[in-house]
Amino acid sequence: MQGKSATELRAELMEVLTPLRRYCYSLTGNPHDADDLLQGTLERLLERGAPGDADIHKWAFRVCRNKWIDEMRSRNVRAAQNIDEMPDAAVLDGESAIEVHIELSQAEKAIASLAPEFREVLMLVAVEGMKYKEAAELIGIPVGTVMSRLARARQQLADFGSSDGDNGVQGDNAKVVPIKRGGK
Amino acid sequence: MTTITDEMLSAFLDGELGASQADEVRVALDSDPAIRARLARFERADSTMRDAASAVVKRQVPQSVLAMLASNGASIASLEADRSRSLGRSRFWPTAIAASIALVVGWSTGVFYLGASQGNAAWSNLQIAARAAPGNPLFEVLETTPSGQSVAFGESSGSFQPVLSFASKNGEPCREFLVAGSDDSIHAVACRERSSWRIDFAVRSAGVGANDGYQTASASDTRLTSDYIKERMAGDALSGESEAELMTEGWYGD
Repeated sequence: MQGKSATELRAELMEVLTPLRRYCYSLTGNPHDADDLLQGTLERLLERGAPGDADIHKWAFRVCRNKWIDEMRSRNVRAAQNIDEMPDAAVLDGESAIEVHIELSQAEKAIASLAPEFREVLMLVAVEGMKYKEAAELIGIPVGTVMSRLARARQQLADFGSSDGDNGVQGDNAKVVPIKRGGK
Repeated sequence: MTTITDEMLSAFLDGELGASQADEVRVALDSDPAIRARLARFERADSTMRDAASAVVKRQVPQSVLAMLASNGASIASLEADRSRSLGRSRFWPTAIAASIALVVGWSTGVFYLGASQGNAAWSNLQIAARAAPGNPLFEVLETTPSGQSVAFGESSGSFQPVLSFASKNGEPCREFLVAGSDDSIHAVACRERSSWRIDFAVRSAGVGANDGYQTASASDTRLTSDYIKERMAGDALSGESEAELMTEGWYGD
């Protein structure tokens, strides 16, 4: 199978840049890290190429996801356990995002309080308009799990600000801190 | 009556519920304000996500990212090709042109500061100039003229031509441009700040002679300019499409 030419690939990536950027944000939970991830994803895509018949949208999202998992893995020095999936929960330290001089909107602060696996499904379904089945395939989880994550994502987001249910665990200085959530 | 779970309500919102369950939800919504309130909370959660997503993508895409996608796939060596392609499209200016560089100064009063020294191009010819703000003709040309296109200035006696655009290593969009008069020409590089073009580099070349039908910058001047750009630029020169896109976005996309 002939791969896409560099020019083709760049043009197609330009087309999906905005959704890809949103997806990066849904994984990282803060705009600064999202743009770093976006850059890393594009680097990987340009370096490794894509099959000629690949749907660039799906392809780029998958590469993005893998790139993010690799980054989490290398950051997650404390966790010795095997992380084949996403870390159980990673919570943005909103303070550190402010330190990099990005002013977060109220909505962004609320989104930062969600675990990445919740942000991810909500972005894919509520913003990108993916069907449950498509989201499940991308993430590599059953459709039922997409459904339950979405319900919890919406529940938690609706609770944000309306109670003091502070699930925003503050990390030291790390921007994204994987934590183990107690009893799920 | 069945219990309407969060998952059902959530899937209902996404149109992912089977027909019979969707009917159950509809009946429940009709009869139970508490369920309507739960649905409204979910809808608000979705709009929070949409608001955040739109806040994120409204911010400027890093120039480094745009440069990666904009480049034509060739290496840095393509710079020369980009420049000569762009310059090659322009028409040369005849010596009949009455303009002198003095006219350029007059045209863009307070903007250009030209080297007065004569002779071969040298670093002594370099002048760090000021800024061109909106309203200034130089600003307007840099803002909207595609690379390779020539714009007449003064009394049609000189020309101004953006040569190429690129992203600098510190993330600013920059453009090389050429100002041509009859006896002199100036290669310059300007970078876009938030609200003005800052001229970072300018090298003035004396014409090769009044008797020639046209003039060219000496090879060493061209070299000087391209060395400067190579040092400053991140990635490759922008393609025509990316340049056009940046232009329509006012160079910073917000």
